Amino acid sequence: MSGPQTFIARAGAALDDPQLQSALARARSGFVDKRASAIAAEPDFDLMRDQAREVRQRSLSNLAACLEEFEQQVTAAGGQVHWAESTEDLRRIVIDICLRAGAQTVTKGKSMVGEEAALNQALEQAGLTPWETDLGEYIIQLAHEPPSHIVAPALHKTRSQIADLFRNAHALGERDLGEVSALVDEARAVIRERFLSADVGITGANLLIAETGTAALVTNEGNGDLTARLPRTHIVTTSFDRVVPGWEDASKILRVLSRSATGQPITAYTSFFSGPRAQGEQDGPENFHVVLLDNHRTDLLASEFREMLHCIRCGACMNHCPVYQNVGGHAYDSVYPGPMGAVLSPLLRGYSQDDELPNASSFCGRCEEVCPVRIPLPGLMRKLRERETLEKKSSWLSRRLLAAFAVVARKPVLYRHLTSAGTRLLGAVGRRRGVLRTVPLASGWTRYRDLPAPQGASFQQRWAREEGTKAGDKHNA
Amino acid sequence: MPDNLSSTRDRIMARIRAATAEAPNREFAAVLASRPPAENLLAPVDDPVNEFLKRARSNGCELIDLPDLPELPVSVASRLPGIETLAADERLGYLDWSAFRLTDNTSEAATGLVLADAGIAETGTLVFTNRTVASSLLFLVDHLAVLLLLSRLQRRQEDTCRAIDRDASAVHLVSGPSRTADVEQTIQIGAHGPRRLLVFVLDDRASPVSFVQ
Ligand code: SF4
Repeated sequence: MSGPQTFIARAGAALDDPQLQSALARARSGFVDKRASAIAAEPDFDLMRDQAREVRQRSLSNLAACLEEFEQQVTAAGGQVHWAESTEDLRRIVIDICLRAGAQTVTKGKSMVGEEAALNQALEQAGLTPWETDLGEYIIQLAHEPPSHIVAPALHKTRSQIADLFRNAHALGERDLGEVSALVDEARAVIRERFLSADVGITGANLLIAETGTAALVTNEGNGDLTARLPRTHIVTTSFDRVVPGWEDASKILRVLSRSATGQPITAYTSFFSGPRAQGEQDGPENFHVVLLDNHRTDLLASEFREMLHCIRCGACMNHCPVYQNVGGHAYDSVYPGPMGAVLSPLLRGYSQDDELPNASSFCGRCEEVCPVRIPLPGLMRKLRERETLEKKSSWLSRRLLAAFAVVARKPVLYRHLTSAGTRLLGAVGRRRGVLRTVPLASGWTRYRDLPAPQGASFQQRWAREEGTKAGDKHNA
Repeated sequence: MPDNLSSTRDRIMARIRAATAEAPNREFAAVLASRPPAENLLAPVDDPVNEFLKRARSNGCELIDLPDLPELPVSVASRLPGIETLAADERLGYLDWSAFRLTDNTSEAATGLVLADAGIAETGTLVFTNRTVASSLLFLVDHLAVLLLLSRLQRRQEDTCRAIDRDASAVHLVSGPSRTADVEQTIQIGAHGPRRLLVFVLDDRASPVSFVQ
């Protein structure tokens, strides 16, 4: 992605973007309130979380046995499992399958692994036409932007921005797109034709079930099912850590997934795909492929960060994160934003600029509180930061911390909320390093506190930009 | 490169094995068997019929109490006035559909009519497999009318996966009409799939019905 090179600079730009701020404000209440009422209606929710966590633990501890069974079952059903060590492998495998199928057009359901591998660009370069079918993914495809949320990829877009994108891309005439219903109907009509004509359908998978070689897909729109079932070839792009042993284990995950993600006890559609259309069945694809991505997940499995693989991609941690709520997903410059992304992105990609992500946190602990599988996200972020410190970049530590505070300090409520945690943290840093080498912080903080209220472009923001420029230089070098 | 590490698959599997030394070479059957009987700890679904009705309604389903099977065509007609073309589940074809034009072509049919393989009380969910119903019928129609027999109602998802044909290449759990919240978090019904989901509920527990296949 082009644009500012550091989290701090991007965050600063996000805070100054009124359209983004209005989109984020809406999302904040949407996701948080819906989850809260779904959970209030479910007295057993904590038990459900324990069960889901147990499934994730047991699945990962027995990964080899589960994957072998999964592969055997897919093969027995007439499908094929492919293994991709890198995102490059995944792109090559998918394009190969498409070309061998003589495909020109590809419908796509939402797949975070597809996003991780930047699959659309690769398909286009190979001469194929990828059509996103999830409404949010379709919107960001039109905007040529990456997703800003793992559940709601176009969360950062307002209604009028979406209407403009449609007006550019579709022959609309004078039609009015002022209402949400008009936008949804417009997309429905355009995408319907694509479902019916695509040669290949590519979806992700929320879960893989070993005992029957099944890929499970959770959607509300129904686009995943139409993508999976109508074309002659269905490709599932996912990662091997999605596997669970049996159907009953899958139920445990599904029970907490949609409650945590959208506040629904269950989404409109939960579908289970096992192999191509069999004899005597009513419809379905002739070819069924599952591509399993590693991309450093085996390293995670062997490390002290294994718990991050428990993640079921519900998005609750970002929905409840005060930093994400204020700066949105693009500030993280990764398809995985928010607290889960702050841990996952550095581990999967290891870009030097990812080192700052574990510090893009207020350490308020909300993410861990809401995570349905109880991943200790703040603890993992701390570990990452410690590792980074040990690995030489210690001089960055206090500056990053300071920078994270520059972001939140402009929001008085947030600032008050976080101050005590920040003090503790800085204290800890100071103790460990002997001296608190953060004189700029002290002055920035003091000046902030002297201001009656943050208004317009503040000191912190200008300061953050300057810091951003300096940090950017490092990465350009 | 040594032979035993010759493929990407083997390399990944070797790394996984090394990383999960806590469960070396465990048989899959043993893994499945090691599952704790956890669902028993969840509060029981005491009154599955009412739980189903309550949940399905809040999922956005329209519920219709069907007194007896031959009344289905009349009941469908009264709930969907103006509907002429029906893509109907062949198991229901023997009923008197003379008021409708039946079609096999899902993409032209405005309304689909299907028999659910099962229902799930816990979430107000309808279950289908493509051994009995085409996936496209469930997703391409504008209105979906479903016949649910109460004898097929299960309490929880775990009960359901034991009761259905889960080897089918597609099993669909349907819990309400298609929807999206991708535009400004506003829930909009009718994203890509059906805009309406009507559930005709028949209590066949005392007098079982059979279908002509
Ligand atoms: S880390 Fe937890 S809360 Fe965040 S997306 Fe993953 S499962 Fe959900």
